[in-house]
Amino acid sequence: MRKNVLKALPELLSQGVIDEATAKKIEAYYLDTTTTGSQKILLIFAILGALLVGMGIILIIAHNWDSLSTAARLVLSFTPLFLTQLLLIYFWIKKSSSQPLTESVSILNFFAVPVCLSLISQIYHMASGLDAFLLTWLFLTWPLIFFPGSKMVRLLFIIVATWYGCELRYFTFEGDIPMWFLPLIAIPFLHFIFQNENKAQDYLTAWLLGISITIMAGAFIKSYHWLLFPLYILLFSIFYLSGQLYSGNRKKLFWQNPWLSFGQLGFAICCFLLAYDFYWNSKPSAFPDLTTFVSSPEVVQLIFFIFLLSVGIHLLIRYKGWKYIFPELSGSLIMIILIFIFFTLPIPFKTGVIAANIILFTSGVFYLVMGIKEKDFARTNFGLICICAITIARFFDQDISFIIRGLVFILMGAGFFTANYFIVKKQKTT
Amino acid sequence: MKQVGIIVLLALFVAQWWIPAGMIAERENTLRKGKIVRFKTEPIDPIDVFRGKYVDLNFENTTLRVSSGQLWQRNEKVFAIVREHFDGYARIVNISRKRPVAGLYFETRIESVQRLGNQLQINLQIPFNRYYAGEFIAPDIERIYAEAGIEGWAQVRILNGLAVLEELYIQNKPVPEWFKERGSH
Repeated sequence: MRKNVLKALPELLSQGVIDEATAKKIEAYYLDTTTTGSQKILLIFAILGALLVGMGIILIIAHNWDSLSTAARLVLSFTPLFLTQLLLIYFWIKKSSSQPLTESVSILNFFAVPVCLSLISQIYHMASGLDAFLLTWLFLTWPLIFFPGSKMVRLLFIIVATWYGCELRYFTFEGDIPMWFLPLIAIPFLHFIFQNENKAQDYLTAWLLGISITIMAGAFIKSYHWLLFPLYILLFSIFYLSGQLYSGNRKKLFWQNPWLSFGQLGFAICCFLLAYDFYWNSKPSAFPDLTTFVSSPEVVQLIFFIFLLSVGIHLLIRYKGWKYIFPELSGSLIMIILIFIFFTLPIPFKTGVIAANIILFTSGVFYLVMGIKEKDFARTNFGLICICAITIARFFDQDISFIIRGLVFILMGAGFFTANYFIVKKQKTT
Repeated sequence: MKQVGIIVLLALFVAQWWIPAGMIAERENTLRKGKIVRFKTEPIDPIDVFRGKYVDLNFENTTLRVSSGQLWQRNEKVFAIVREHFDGYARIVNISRKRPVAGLYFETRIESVQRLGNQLQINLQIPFNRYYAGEFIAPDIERIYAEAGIEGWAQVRILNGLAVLEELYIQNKPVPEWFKERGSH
């Protein structure tokens, strides 16, 4: 395409279809886009290369070169650190504009820290656990996430921080996360939100952050397991509100509005799980002692989430109006209230199961209708997926004839075709 | 802005050197000036993603029995007081919340507390229970101990509350030497 246009330029000029200025503009445009395109590919390969080299060095160090002298191993341990630091200082002073270079060197510096720590641990037989190792690593690379041209380090930092949290709370059940660690994570998070540049890497960071927060949100639940669902529904509502507040443009693609999409997806998954009876069957025979319950970490976390949600709702009403709260957020609020009523009052467990089924089904219909109305493929199909998921799940629960099951599946498939066909048709007419 | 940036960057790089160098300095000091003690041990070999294979040393006499009058909590920071026995091996004889003024001791945490009648059984975390060895040596160390029932001990240096594992011994010989003599690895 590009070649054809560029080849055609002299002819168009000679025939007087375009003037010289336009021809130059067209030429500049195509040359520019190809450079950006090739730079992007270069950036991806530079990042991949740095990641592989970094992890490769870690593996080579893990071999344990105990035949080398202590001095040689110490020099080795600081060499990658020294080289990457020198290069980063050079880039900073020279104001290097080459993103592939700065990204790959900052990734290598991010990996140079554990290489150094590993070698020292091996030389002096340090017995500290993996959690302490990961924490030191995070501490010594934290400022790098603010360094311009080190966006990939942000992603790596989130991954290692999640790993650290899991190591402490899920894998070993040993320690508490130090209090200073939470602002360490929260500050770059806030920095990132306020500096959203709407680039692919920012979306990726937001998605990863969402996944990380989702994983860690359940880490403090130890005694009151039934609080798991209210906590997660609250969290997904907060995500949804953040999405509405910071990038509430509905026309954005699914992956371009991570918080909104994550919130909707998370809530749908919660409803889908609640539509089974395993959770409702786990109701404890007696309500826990109120004093112990109120002072538990689960309740503290619950109160914190409720506070965040209230602030979010307040801001949304103030800046955007009521219509964004209902009906999309009403499903979550009804579900949370229902769970609390169920766990405090003697109500048959089927109530919860039926409610979750109805809420997911209604949400699905809502997304479907809104999607068709707004000619939005993602919303329409998300609605259809919600409806299909709940229908299919109930179908396998019940003893229903194969013929009826088959017919319903065909109907659902036809639903997908029809809904998408209508949107395409609507888009063409406008 | 650029100057602030470069100062922050330099501060980070200094920290990236300072903290590992501090770890090295502390341990080198202990290895040079620390008192040598021996702990009887049995090894098993696990793996660490970053630091490679190591031998997890299972020490004898790391469990203490204290009167239940005093309250001790899991994960609490304590000082383990060490005394050398007539057989040449060291043992942990007591724990204290306060740093002892003299004698052999090291800083650690309580691994677990269990009530046994009117006594408490306290298990301590041992800050020198990992012996990092070559990728192919580590599994062999465990196998040799298990097969022949060979006695082993760890040489540890202790100074001002810091204990550093200096060497692991098999049949009174440092592990690298033992393997070298047998021509393996």
